[in-house]
Amino acid sequence: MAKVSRRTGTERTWLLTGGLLGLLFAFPVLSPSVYYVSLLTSAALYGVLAMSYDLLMGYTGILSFGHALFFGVGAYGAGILMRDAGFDFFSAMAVVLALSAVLAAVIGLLSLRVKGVYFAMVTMAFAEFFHILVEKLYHITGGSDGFTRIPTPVWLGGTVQKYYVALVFAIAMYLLARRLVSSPVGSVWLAIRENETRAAMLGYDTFSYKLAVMVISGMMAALTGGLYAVVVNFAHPGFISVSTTINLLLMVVIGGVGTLSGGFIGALIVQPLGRILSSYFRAWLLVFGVVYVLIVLFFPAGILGSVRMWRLRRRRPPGAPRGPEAGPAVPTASPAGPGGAPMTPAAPRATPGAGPAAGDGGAGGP
Amino acid sequence: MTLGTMTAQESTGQALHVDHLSVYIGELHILEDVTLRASRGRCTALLGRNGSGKTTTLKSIMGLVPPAGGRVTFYGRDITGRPAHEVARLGIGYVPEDRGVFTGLTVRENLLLAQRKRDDERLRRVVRLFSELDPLLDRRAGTLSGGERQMVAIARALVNPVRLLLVDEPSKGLAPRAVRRLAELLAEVKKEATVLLVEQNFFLAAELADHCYVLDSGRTVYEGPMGELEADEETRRKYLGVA
Repeated sequence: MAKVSRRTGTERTWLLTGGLLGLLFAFPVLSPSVYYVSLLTSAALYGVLAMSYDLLMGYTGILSFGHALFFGVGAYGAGILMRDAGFDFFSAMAVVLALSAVLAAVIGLLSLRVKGVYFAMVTMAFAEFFHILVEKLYHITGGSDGFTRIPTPVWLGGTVQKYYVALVFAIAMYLLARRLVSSPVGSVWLAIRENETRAAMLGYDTFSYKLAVMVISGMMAALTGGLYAVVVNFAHPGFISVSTTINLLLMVVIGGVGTLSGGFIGALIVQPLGRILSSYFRAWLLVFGVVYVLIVLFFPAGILGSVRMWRLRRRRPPGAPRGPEAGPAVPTASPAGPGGAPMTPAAPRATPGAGPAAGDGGAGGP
Repeated sequence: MTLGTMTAQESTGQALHVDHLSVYIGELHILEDVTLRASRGRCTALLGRNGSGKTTTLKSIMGLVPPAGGRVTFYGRDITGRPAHEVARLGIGYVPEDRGVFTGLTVRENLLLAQRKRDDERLRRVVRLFSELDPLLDRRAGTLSGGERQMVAIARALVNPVRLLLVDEPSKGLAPRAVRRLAELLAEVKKEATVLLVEQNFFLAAELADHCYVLDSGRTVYEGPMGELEADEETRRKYLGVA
């Protein structure tokens, strides 16, 4: 089967990616202040968190209002283990990963029985339960004040080191997520997002696939939370709050749902912009609101999603439908299966009017 | 063209037995004591007017609509109320009325997604059979015509070893030329798999089916060889509105 990949603009994409990475790695040198470096560190980590949310919402169509729970579990888990139990960073992260996997599996098993808004409500209830629990367990968690004094590993000592660790972590997580969505499992996630019943009709146990994405995205969020707590040397109940999940939702919507990298763009806007605006305007939330409205108005599919839609329109063969079925920014997955051998000796790209039925005016759909 | 779908053992006898199936949706009694059999290696047509319960029967067999009573057995195995993914894994392919293709995916991705166990040779044979799809493999299914989508839907059902194919209104909304091509393709498919065909186009059903059932208001009102129904003008007129 011939490989399923975008073939146009590949070189341009590589050039852009290379240039962007070069710029990001050179940023500490180019930045006028370490403040901006720490802003970008925070944005990189929130970008990973948003990306993990995008796996859930953008790729599988599961709207959770409790995703921040895993971020909080990671932050508190790593912080408590390192501060109070003497764990080193990597051991703490390993425990956090295992814990978040079990927690995500349990919550998934209980909540995935319901769908849509009911699922969102159940996940929100779980997040709120843990939010309250963290506030009540004052002796361990520091209550509503949160806690600091998390031992920082030597290699995470300075702002620049933290930046590079966060950047490498973000790239690694992105590559992992990209690999996942390009895998057979990713194709089934996409199918579930498009139509769960159809996916089931093809023989896929959609519940298991949804559980899998919940566990994977939960683990990714927890890992990010653990690293974030160590980087900022702080854990706070706000990490678990519904408003954190809503912020993630905004990041994904602004960047582009179902794009993975859109989460980073969203985080880059929401995180640093919020902090910068707050230092100049007292009514910064109002300005923020206007920015959100403008983005949603002018980029209805998110920034990256709109760019992809625009590129798709340019490539669309003449006469192809222009309606929603033409598909907005649906990520290109390389479904599984027979991934190497060609389906036919030559599988040419569709050309306008190709094939006997392509221009069959009479064969219009219902 | 062979898809190697049926084993020699399966080429005779009974594939599917729907026994006194009843389905309620809310307060509505959609199916009442529907009984039908699909013989191995044959094409059985399920006919009837709009709202007679044909689609619900297929959905119920497929596990998409829970039955209130009755039994569905597939090669002797009780599959009543089993979830759709389990039913599909037993070798029942379903081509729904709305085609059910993933419009955001390309034709190739639709076919690859449908194949649960890698079998390149089978894929090649399916694409060879549905030759119109070959140049469209990299087109998004959402940009295809109705006839092309129908081909994707049927091809997708055949990329796995299918022992029974449920096809719901394949000719619906298609132009005569596309219907003709579809009839040729289904005739090919019929050679290799047991087919249960729901169709409003009586002439297409008559061309393809060996045996038929007629549903009216959720009940089976007629059963017999297709040829007999073709000759029975009164029944056709009464239940199908076809002279």
